[in-house]
Amino acid sequence: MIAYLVDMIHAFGPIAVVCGLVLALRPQTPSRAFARAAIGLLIAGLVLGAGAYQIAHAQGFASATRTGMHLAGMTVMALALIALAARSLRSGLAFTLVGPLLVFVMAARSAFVFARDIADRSLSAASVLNTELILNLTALFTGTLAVAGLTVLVLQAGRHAQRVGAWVLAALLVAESGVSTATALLGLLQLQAIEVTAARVSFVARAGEAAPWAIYGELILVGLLAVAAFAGGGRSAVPPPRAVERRQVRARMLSRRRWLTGAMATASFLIVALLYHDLYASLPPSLSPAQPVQPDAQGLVRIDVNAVKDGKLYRYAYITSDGHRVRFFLINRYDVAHAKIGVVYDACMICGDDGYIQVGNEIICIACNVRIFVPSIGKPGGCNPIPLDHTVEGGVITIAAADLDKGAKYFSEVVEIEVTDPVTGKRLINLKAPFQYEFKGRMFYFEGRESYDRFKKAPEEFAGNVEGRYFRVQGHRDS
Amino acid sequence: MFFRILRQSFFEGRKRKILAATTVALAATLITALLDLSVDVGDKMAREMKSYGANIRVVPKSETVALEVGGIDYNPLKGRDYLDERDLPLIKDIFWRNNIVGLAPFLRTSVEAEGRAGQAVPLIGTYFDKSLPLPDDDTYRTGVTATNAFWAIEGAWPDDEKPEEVLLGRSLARALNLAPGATLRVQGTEGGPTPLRVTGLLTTGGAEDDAIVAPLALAQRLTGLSGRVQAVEVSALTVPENDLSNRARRDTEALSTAEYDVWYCTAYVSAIAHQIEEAVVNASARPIWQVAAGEGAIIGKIQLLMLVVTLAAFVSAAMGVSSLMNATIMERAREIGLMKALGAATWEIHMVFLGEAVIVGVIGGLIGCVAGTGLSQAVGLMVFGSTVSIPWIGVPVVVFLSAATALAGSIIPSRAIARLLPVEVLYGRR
Repeated sequence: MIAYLVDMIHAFGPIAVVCGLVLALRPQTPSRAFARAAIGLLIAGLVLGAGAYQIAHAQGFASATRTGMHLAGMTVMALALIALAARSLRSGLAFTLVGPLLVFVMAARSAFVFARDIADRSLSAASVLNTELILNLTALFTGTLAVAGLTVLVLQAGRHAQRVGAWVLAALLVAESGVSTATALLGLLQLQAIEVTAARVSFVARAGEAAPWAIYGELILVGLLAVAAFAGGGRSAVPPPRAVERRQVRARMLSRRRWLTGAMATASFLIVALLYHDLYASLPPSLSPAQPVQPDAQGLVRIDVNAVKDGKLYRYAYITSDGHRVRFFLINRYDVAHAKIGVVYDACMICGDDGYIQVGNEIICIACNVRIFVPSIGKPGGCNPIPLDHTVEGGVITIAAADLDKGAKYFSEVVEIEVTDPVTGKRLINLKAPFQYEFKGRMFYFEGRESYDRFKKAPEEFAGNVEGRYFRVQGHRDS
Repeated sequence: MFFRILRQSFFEGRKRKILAATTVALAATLITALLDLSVDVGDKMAREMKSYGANIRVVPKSETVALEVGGIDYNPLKGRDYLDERDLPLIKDIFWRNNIVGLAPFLRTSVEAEGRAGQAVPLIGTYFDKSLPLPDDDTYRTGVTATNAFWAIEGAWPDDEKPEEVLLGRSLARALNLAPGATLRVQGTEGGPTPLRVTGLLTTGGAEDDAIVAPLALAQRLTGLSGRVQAVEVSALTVPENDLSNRARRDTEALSTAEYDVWYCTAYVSAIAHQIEEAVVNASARPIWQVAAGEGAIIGKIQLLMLVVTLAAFVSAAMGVSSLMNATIMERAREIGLMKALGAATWEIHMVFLGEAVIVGVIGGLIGCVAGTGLSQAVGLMVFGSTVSIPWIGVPVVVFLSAATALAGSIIPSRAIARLLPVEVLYGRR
């Protein structure tokens, strides 16, 4: 339910603000025609965007279409920024031309984004009317009302505070064109239209991380605009002498206060919905803490069967010599009387190292939400956790640290530890080492370029004849 | 000020308002009853689709060939084509093998039992808890104890390796007057009379209550179909169905390569069924959805009818409200004229009348909710034989619809407000 509401806010929040402000800043003379053109183009843009997604998705070029849309959005937003600057120089003509175009392109972009976001959600699990369907439709209805309300409020506020309105529009265009640039760039990289460079990838990654938060800033700007337009002011120092005028002033004040309350309530509602989703509802379940293990002098980890046979999931973590944190867990596959302990890495061949959690009696893969059949834990295949070599003797499970180390590549988490430069023997901190090199799945860290180059030339000489680590792409291997 | 006017004007013309609220309440009663029934079944269906376990039925491909003409099945291969018992381990060898909790083959036949001469008694052969060695697990055991955990027995389960031990359905046991430990002689299509020892009585609520449930080997011997099974029921751990799996269920060809990979590598019941079809030659695997196939199918078919009835109730109630509203406005024309003369904007007067309509609609809707819930319970008892759980989500929906009904009914009459001229109405010319 909340997902649909949040999708609507993300997709249509910016266009609501843009549409309201473009209408508020419209030129004086052909005011009516301008408003009609802008609203007509808004509807045309929404229809075009939604239709474009359906067609592009069916034909299999959704990615190219998305890139095109964001490129167009980027261009028009840049034009609109120039037009806004020209408008402050008392030349409104450019804005008269670009304003409706901006509304059109951004509407198409919004509808496209929304159509894509909801494509992999289903309104209802069943074909018969049910609670979930009603809740989802309510969310869509509420979202539509909130977005429409936002447009009207911004329009009204923008008319009262034109200068602030222009600044808010400029700030929003900068933020949204940043998002569009990053998305378009990512699309071009994916389509191999431009070359992949570190700087480009880094920009796309950073912008991609920031993009979902842009809407918060935009809603706060709307709040500030409403304050600038409706708060304070209006009250003249000396109350008008005549009763009629006094009442008129009071009526105006009342109406301003109502608009302010309305704007604040709408913006707060949208922000609270977004926060609820981002900070609570969409968070993945978290893993239970892992108990750290240290191998003994023979390089073995020993765990007593009696300590882990009560059917709970016992999670452990081992830190390898290069800082990889290898998680594994033990669980009794049968009942307490017949202890058969499954010993597995806390990672899946398909889904990666998100791990498994226990809810009630069920073991769940966090990444794909599949329930794991507990008696099958310890067998390879499907979404089962990857089996870990071990021996059981006299009620004690023995795991070799070397076997844990072999599975280090299944896990991406690296912790900060002290390591040794294999060439010079100097001690250094792994995450702060200036050079690193991967050999047979093991990471080696170096204090400088010289030792790095020497190692790269003849790794065997320094690393010795070590066995390679397992890679997930190799699939399961019996050793 | 607006609320003060509204409060005062609300108690004007009470009789007419009660009439309007009753009209709305009648429509709301109907809508609530339909909504309650539909949402109850819909929720059950959604729960089934979103559960983390499902059963899959595997049958020979020829069984699913549709040759029904006028409701009669002309498929010549119906019940004559079989799966090979040796293929069963293949089902536990698919990509999602670890998600398959258990499987149970079935072979249905009929025998003649002593004490019931001339009347065929159904006999179902299956696994109870049979050892089924797999390539990677030679201690694997499976059967109906794993797939049909809801089967309740009185006595003991038969041993799969002793083909004279059977379960007796409770109704059949009553008819034959047999208790656990008794012996029953039957005559199959092959071989001579065979004595069977009843180890327990079975209650399932299904066809098994009237049948003998025997180890598969016995059923095969009695019918001469050694190594054959008719159907296999597979119990699997799955993830809830979603849009992707719905599309895959309709047509896997329509998925893009990436979508196909995601679907294939996710434990949707449809993906598991698809992999079983790939593994077992000549088999067709379909998920079993009890509610979707039963009540869901009924409601699904009459859903359009419900929508039309709802719409008709909505329109007729709105028309009723409309005529009442018309009379109200005519009656209060002088009041409207006075408000206009005092400088009220037309929209402000509209708000008073529409506000009244919304309040009337909400009251009518609440009354309708109570009445409609009672009605749906009665219908549920008569049609499905059980009370319907009250979906609380229906209350806001019905109240909203009722307010919308009253509002829709008031919009046309309230347009007359704009046409009233203060000077005319205050002068008494109209």
